[in-house]
This record gives sequence, structure tokens and C-alpha cells, in this order.
Amino acid sequence: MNAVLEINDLVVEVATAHGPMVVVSNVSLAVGAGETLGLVGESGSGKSLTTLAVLRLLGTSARIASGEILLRGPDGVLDLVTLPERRMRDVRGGRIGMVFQEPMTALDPAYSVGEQVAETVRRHLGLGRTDAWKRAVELLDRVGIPSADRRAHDHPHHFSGGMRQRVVIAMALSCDPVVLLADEPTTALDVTVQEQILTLLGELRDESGLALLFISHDLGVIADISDRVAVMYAGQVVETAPVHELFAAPRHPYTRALLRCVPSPGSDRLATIPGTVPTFDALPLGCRFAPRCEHAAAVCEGAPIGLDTVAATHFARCVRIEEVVS
Amino acid sequence: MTLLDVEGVAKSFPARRRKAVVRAVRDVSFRLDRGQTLGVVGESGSGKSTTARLVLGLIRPDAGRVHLDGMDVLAARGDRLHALRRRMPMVFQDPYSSLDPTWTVRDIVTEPVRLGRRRDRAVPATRAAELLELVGMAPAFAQRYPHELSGGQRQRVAIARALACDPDLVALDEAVAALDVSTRAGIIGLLQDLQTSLGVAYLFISHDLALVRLVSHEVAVMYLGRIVERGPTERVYAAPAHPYTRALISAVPVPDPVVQRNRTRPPVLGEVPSALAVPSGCAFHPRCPLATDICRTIDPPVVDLDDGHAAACHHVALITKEGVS
Repeated sequence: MNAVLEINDLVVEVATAHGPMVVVSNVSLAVGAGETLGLVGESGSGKSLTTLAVLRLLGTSARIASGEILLRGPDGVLDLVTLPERRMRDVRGGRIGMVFQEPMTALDPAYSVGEQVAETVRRHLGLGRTDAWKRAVELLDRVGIPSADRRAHDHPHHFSGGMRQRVVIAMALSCDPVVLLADEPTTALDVTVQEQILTLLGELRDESGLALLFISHDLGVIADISDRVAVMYAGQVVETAPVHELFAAPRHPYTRALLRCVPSPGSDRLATIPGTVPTFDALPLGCRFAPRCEHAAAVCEGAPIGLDTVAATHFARCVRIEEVVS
Repeated sequence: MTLLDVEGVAKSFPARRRKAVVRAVRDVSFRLDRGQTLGVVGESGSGKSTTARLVLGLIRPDAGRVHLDGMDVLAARGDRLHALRRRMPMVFQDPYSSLDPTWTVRDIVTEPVRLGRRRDRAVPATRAAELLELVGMAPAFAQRYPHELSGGQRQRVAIARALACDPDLVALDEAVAALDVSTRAGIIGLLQDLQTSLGVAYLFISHDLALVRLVSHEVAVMYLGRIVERGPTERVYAAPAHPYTRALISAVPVPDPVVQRNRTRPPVLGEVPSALAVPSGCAFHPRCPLATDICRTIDPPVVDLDDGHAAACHHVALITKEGVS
């Protein structure tokens, strides 16, 4: 597979009073055209920081310490880690579209939604006002806003939560991106609306061959939309596999425990994971999940654990896979 | 034995600007037995939280009756009302805003006890430790402040506070919604254990249908202020009788890609309308695949099906006969 977005050995550090602290450790991910990579993990696992690093929107306290983020386009390969900020601005909202959890933070309450979509188009594609507006209306229509030519004149507060998220998706798609980063895009929505947005994102991906990086804490949503899944824990990818394999035959003890923590029909108790996620200033030297793992043994401690090949497309960061599975 | 009896409760709020009213809760009736859990599900704006606040006597309904253990909650005033409220505390969604950051855990969990006493009688020093033990926390946490605790620990403190006056009923308003999957599982297990050991009843309000199924004996589905379906949990989930319940259940993604991708799902049209403009007739009709003329004009009455299972739909017979797809 020729990945459109390829993250290699990404390390993100946060500055603290005691020096830099690594919060994303050697994360490698790849998403191909028309493919959805689901990134799942609990809060603090590093999944959002990884996406922010791709956009180089880490702010002043965090920085990319090492690694490469390759974006393949028709005109060659860009390494986003070293790209000058001026060109990075063209990438954000241009070749990489983004959709976040809360649509109201992405929209300006003072402008009509049509103006906001048109502005993105003008900024990135250099169209004139009339053409940009026409394209904005087309996009709003495409994402399922009824009577788009009329509603384009309305301001965000006239729209429901689901419709606002559609507007944000229209903005993200406005410049024909090759990659769409969606960070918990349905988490703030009602479940019937979530279903509509998931359907829409799936359609758009299939139509335009977008590479979709979809971040969620919801295993049901991940099961619905992903082709492949990467599970993150304490700043590391601990398992990655095609979606059916991950759910049917998870190998890493954390993935297995996480899947047991969600309700399933017929059961009246949820499994729990003992202990808590380690803090980044006190990470175990070896496997970061070992203190909470029922399969932990002496081999798990002492030295960092690498991603081990389970099958051609299935990797897990565990040295006791044989024991875990039996 | 019936602990909580709610009959025909309604509440409207004046809207900002305009002369409209928000009809937040309309004609809500249900019963909850001692030691049981009633799950209340629905999307945002369905009136779940308002219902809880009405039941607990935190806001006054425009109409209806609420009885706790045979006592009229709405007629109670002053000390009597405060005493009743201590028997039915609430746990909120966000443990970051529901705990006072300047208080120690000891002060937080024993406050309800202090409020219920005369000024000259101190709370026994051991009470905080007892309450913390109930929620699985070491006594040493009594000296800590909320900012020193994780989200899950804070929610345990909020639960300990709710248990301080040996309540009959605890209202849990999205009490685990802000927590991570693994933390949530621990809190849910704790709530289940506490119900077994203390016999406390729960009003479990949540948008998470899978979770409600797990913890509830009975379930009530709300849509735009009304209970559109209620009944024993397994009956409602196995054979939902209201088109909205069916849509809601089938919209929840299942964490199994094989099942999730092979489900036939009735399409749900659009979104929940504003409570400022509740549609005429059945409030669900603009989104309902089965809507006919009668649905547009007449609000359907609640029809009893069997074994306490009831639904408010003109086409209940049609749905229950054809079975669930």
C-alpha cells in the first residue's frame, strides 16, 4: 500500500519544570487513499496529540522532538515536520482537512456559514467571490444541508449540532484534501445524528478516495467506520490490525481488557481494568501496561517492549502474546 | 414495593425573548420500586434531567404528583422538604464542577450529614472513613482536595457524598458519561455492588443505551419531554414497541464490526426539533417512517402492552405484530 499519510517514529515532548517529558513515543501510523484508520484510546493516550502534531498545531508547550510525517500528493512527498510554517499553512485546510469534536469552536459565530466555507476556498484555491460562494453552496449541498443556497446565508447559531458538524465537514472538504483528520467528530452529537454523520463521512471517503484518520474513544464507532485500527496506551501504539481481526482476535492485553469493559447484551457486569494509567513522569521502564496486566511477568519489566509481528498486518507490543492467548 | 410514584408531571419554562414556552416535560408518569433501577434514556433536550430535578423537588412542576415512600414531595416545605431531599440525592456528570475545590474530601462527603443535624452536634470523626470505604477508597483520601484526585476518584467521592444520609434513591444524571471506558466500568460495578448491599434505588439517566440496558431493571425512553415507551428493560430492548425506541437502539454502534456492518437499520430522518416548537400530534411524527395522518394531529395515548410494557404510538399494534427488524 502506498500511504498518503505516513507517520514514522513520531516523538512529541511537552516542556515541564523538570525538563522535557515525552508524551507521544515513537508512534508510526500510515493511512492509504480511500482507507480509514481508526485511532482508539482513553484520555491521555496521545491520540489527539498525534493528530495535532500532524497539523503542527501543538502550541507553545509541546513540540515534535523527532520523527517524520510524510504527506504524499500528486506533486511529490512533503515532510510536515520540516516544512516551513508558511507552506504548512497551505497544507492545513488545504491538502489536510480537519474536523474536531465541537463544531462551534471551528465556526465563527459572526459570519454566515456560506461566507466561512467560501473564505476557505478563496484562501486555498484563489477563487473569486462569486465562484467561491457558488462552490460553498455546492459543498453545503453535498454534505446534506437542505436548501443549501438559502441556508448558506444563515449564521451558525441557526443550525443544530448535527448541521453545524456538516458545515465543518464542508469546510474540511472545500479544497479537495487528500487526508481528513477527524478527532471525535461525533462525540458531541446525539446517537441518531452520529449515525448520519458516520454514513456521510464513509460516503465522502469512498467517493473522493480520501485517507481518513478517525479518532474516537468509542469502540462501537471505531468498529463501524474503520478499515484498520491502532490502539494507543500511555503515548504508544500498543496494537494495530485490520478492524475485523482486531475485534475478533485482539492480542494485546490492553486491547482485550478494553473490549471487555464495554457492555454486551446478556452480561450484567462489566469487566474492569485494575489500577490507573501511569502518568508520563512515572512511566514504567518496560511495558507501560504491565502494572495493570493480569499476564504481566518478569520479562515485561526492565526494558522497553517493541511492536511484535502477529501476522503480516497485525502488530502488538507484548512479549507474552502466546501466554495471553492461551 | 413502590418507592417512587410519579404521576402526570409537567413543566414548561419561559423562553428567552419571544413569548414562547419551552415544554420541557409533558405528562410524565412512572413508578420505581425499592432497590431497583429505572433507566431514563433519550437524546439531548428530551427532558431527562428536568424529570430528575422535578422528582427530587429541586424545581416545582406545573402539574402532577410525586410521592416518595408515600410522602408527597410537592406538598413538603422547609425542613420537611430538606429531609426528603436528603433521602434522594443526586450525582452529576462532571465531578470537576460538582465538588468544591477548596474543601477536603472529608468536608465534602460529610456535608449532607452536617446539614441534617443541629448545630451543636458534631459529625462522628469516623463517618468520612466509613463513606470512603463504601466507595472503595482508602481513609487517607479524607485529607485530600479534589484537584489531587483522578476523574474516577472524584466521581467516587460524589457517590460517597450521595450516600452520606442513607438515601432511598440516588439520581445519577449522566454520572459516568465524562469518564474513560475502563474507569466507567469500575464506577458501574461499584454502583451495582452498592445497590446489592444497601438496597438503594437508582434513577439512572443516560444517553448510553448499552449502559442503561446493563444496569436497569426498568427503562423509560423520553422524546421531546414525553415518555414514549417504558417497561422491563429486556422486553423494551428485545421488542421495542415505539418507532423512536427502535431507531435509537439501532443507531447505537455495536463494538463488533461483523454485527455492526450487517445490521439493517431503519433510517432516522433529521434531528430532534427544538422544544420551543414541539410538533403537533405525536412529537416524533416528522422523523417517523410510519407516520400517517392521525400522527400529525393527535398525540397518542400511552397504550399498555403487557407486563408493565407500555408505549405511546398510534401504530403500536403494527409494530409489535410485525416484530423487530
